[in-house]
Amino acid sequence: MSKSEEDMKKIAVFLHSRYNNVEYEEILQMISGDDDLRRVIRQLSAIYDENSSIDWEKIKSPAHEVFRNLLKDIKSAKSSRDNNVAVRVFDSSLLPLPEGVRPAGVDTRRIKYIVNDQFVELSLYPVSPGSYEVIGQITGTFANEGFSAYMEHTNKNFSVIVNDCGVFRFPRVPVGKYSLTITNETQTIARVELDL
Amino acid sequence: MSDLHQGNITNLIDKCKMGDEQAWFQLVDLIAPVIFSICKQNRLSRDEGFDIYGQVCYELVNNINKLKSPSKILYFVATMTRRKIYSLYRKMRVKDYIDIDISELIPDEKSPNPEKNLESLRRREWLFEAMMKLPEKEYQLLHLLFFDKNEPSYKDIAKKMKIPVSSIGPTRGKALNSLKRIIKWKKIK
Repeated sequence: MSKSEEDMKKIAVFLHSRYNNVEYEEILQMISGDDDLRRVIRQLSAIYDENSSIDWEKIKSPAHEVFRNLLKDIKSAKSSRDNNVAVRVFDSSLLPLPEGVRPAGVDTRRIKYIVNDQFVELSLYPVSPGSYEVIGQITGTFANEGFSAYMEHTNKNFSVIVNDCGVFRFPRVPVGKYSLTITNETQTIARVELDL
Repeated sequence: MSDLHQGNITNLIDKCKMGDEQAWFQLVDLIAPVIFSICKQNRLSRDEGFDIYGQVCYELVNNINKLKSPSKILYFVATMTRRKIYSLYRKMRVKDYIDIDISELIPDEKSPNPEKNLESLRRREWLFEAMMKLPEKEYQLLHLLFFDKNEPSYKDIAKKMKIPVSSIGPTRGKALNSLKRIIKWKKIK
């Protein structure tokens, strides 16, 4: 191994913070007389630190999944005639369970949507093997304007009044695909496609 | 990072603008670590981090056509991430319970004394930009030498890059010199 090759190995060890005292001294000595090298190493260290502060490989797959759904929702919102189709920006069901946690048969789920600078946040709690309690909240510009929320399925419809805090609750909704719409007296504010 | 270099980031963003889904995922691989790093620095939970990530991605997809300077994309993402975190803090009313005004921590482009984290991010951005100006072989070599988590040996690097082991040293020297020149030219202190 040539001298420069050894030097590069030392820099790599330095960047990975896996040096012993002797190596550390050697590296410091090596870079102390070279301003340019010191600058480059500082830059490289910064970028390495940024990259290594999170384990991207562990979260890459759920992050891609979240993004895939987001793109799909945005496409669907753009192709819709209405401008009130909500886009899902967070869905707890897409995230991996923490290490050592076993998946439950039916899990609670939190979902967050954006539509026209407003957020619609839903919490789904299983109340029986075939049904969920759905609690939602609208936050944003129109949060306190006396809305109603409707959940529509092919043969099941539910409706509730949204309270002054923008909160609404469907106590027991059977599993299935629903279209949740939030409306005021004159217009639909948000439309959310929901698969329970 | 290697994806970032393919034809440079401007090309990547152009492809995203045209709706190329693969390009979008390459861009996500570039920006997501920045978003999650900032979330981690701000001690957000995993769920909060993903929440912010989703919101920033939403803003990026909706504003990609308005980006005047594609090479500043990391800056856009970092600023957007901080704004979203601030909104989260505000919503949680954390601001009321701490003795500093968080808004001061939210840098804007004109901020003369940006916070340390932003400095680090800028260095990263500068280095990205500088590295992007390197010829692809040189860029790839520096990436394999310093940023590949598998820490490949010289033999592996040579195999991967289809070059003889003996040319790694000179190429690396050339790459670092080019990088120094670019950094000097950009007057990075």
